[in-house]
Amino acid sequence: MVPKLKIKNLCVKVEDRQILTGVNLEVNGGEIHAIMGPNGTGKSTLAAALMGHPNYEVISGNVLLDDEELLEMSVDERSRAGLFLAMQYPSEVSGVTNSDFIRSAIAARQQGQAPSLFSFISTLENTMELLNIDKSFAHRYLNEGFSGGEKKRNEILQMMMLKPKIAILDEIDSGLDIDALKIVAKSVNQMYSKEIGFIIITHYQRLLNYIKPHFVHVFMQGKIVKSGDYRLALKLEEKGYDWIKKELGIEDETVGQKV
Amino acid sequence: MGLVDLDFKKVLERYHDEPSWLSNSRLFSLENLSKFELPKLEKTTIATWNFKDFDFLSNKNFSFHKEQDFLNNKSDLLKNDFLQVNGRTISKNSTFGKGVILEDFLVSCSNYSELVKEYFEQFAITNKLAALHSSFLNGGVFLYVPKNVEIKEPVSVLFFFKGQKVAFSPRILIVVEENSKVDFVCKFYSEEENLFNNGVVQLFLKENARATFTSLNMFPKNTIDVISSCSYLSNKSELDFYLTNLSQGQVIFKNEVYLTGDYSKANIDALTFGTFQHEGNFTTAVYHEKRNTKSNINARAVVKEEARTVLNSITHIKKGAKQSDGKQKSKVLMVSKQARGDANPILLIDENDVIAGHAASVGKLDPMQLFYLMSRGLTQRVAEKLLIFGFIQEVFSKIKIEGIKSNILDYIDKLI
Repeated sequence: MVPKLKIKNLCVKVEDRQILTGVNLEVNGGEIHAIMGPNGTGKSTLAAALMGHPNYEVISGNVLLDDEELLEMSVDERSRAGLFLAMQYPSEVSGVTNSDFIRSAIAARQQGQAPSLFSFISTLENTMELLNIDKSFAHRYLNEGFSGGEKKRNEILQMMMLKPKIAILDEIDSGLDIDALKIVAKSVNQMYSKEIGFIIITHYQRLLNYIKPHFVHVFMQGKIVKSGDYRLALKLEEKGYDWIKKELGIEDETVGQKV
Repeated sequence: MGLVDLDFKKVLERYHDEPSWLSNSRLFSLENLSKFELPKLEKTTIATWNFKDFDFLSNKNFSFHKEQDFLNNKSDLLKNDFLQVNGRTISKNSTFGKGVILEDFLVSCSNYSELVKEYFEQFAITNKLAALHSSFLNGGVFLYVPKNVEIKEPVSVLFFFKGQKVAFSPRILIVVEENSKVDFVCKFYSEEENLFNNGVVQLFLKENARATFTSLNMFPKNTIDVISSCSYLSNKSELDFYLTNLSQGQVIFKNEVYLTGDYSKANIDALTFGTFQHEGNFTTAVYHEKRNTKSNINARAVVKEEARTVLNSITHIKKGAKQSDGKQKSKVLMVSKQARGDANPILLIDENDVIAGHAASVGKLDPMQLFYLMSRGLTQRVAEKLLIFGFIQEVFSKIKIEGIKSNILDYIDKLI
């Protein structure tokens, strides 16, 4: 079955500030959606709220993943239902090795049954090789002492190992040099199929040179204000965001008005 | 008012065939029991603990007519080099040779009277719990490693306790002579509640001796588990002390290490996990008395449910202990809202030319780490477990004995 994520009129606040003001988006397997927009317009909030980040509170709206209400699920249930978020700032966890963590995460998808060590390690090592990650990473503590680029590649490694239905990449390109960026793009392209839909959140069009999105959405004031195809990204690269603000009569594109 | 209702005659009759130095010690302790006060512990009040309602003389009467049944059900207990159940020695390995002694403590007091007496008397009776121990001393083990002997395989000793409302006072005495080496594993274990374990450990490392001491205490809730340990290190001797205490009742663990010889060195790694209404007070104290001595204390405590744990770490570098190096680190992780923990780092430096450092922290589970782990599909329970194991990893990973490691993981797993 082709996975389907349907976000309907999603409104989210943090403490007493409303960030998302009504997001509507539908993502199907086999589609790559890019969400672009200036800083502070709520892009990362959308990612965090979908995953169930404890600091974000949904005020209204609903989100269906394969016709199941995502917002009623706990964080881990969302993950097991097929949602994945590659985080902008992944936590460091001392004392837990990367490979133990990933193996536990796979086990969580198989009723607690851990994959056989042999097949797990060979898959892990192959995937790490593809991502140009040193073998020693498997035995290092989760993200501890990793550089920014290493953390980002580690997020992609987890995504490839967990095979989600809907993957959200939150500014996966920030802090990556061009070679790392190409590796990440290659991995996403390799994963691409009807079985998975992508939401790629980015400031820059640069990543989209390597991953070609089917849809591009512009975020302002906590919602999608304009959508288009790949050519919209090129136009943004060329002209910036001001023309959209002008077109839509937006003066301040940021979010965070008190509610 | 005394701590226990005493009948001197009964005690002395019970132990009438002992050497006089031992009976004298009992007598002195008994006579002065009411004069001694309970030890004063940093941030733990033990005045309300019930040390009274236990039978201190029950063990020798304990019925062992079902001994064989008991051992059939627990045959893995016999894998230890030495097994004692309620103070009664059930099995021991006597194949070490080379003059090595591994023997029941009270038997040793008679059979190796002069040897044991010298060390026995270095345990100072300074408070009520020590006096209780000395009055009713009723078990333990003596390990003697003569000069220039290296015991390759770890020597493992298990004290197993059963019964209701009974108290035990084992003494563990280990003497490692010059240039010798031993790995000692000491387990205190019971599955039954309403027990009081009041043990004393004495460890003597002679010149250039090496020892590791790995201890594991596992008592369920509604128990009292008291261990007082004193180690004395001579010139160039080295001790690695791995202490794991998973007792769920009321716990006092006082671990004192005296660096009495130049270039002696001690590493102490302590790990505790308390849940239910656990109250624990763990003190590690290292006394640098001579030059170029080195110590490192690393303590981790996890508290869950309504548990309360206090970690005290004391590094005392005394006058004259030039070029000594004393470090300590203690961390407490509170897993539940009601759980409370304390870490008290104490550095006492009486000498200039030294290196000393300390770090201490008390914290809760990080909600961002939890979110991160759960966002990969781990349930809250598994995510918490990973974070707890991650927290203890630095200390846990140093334990060398595989059997102990799996015991610890299984037990903590059960408690989580």
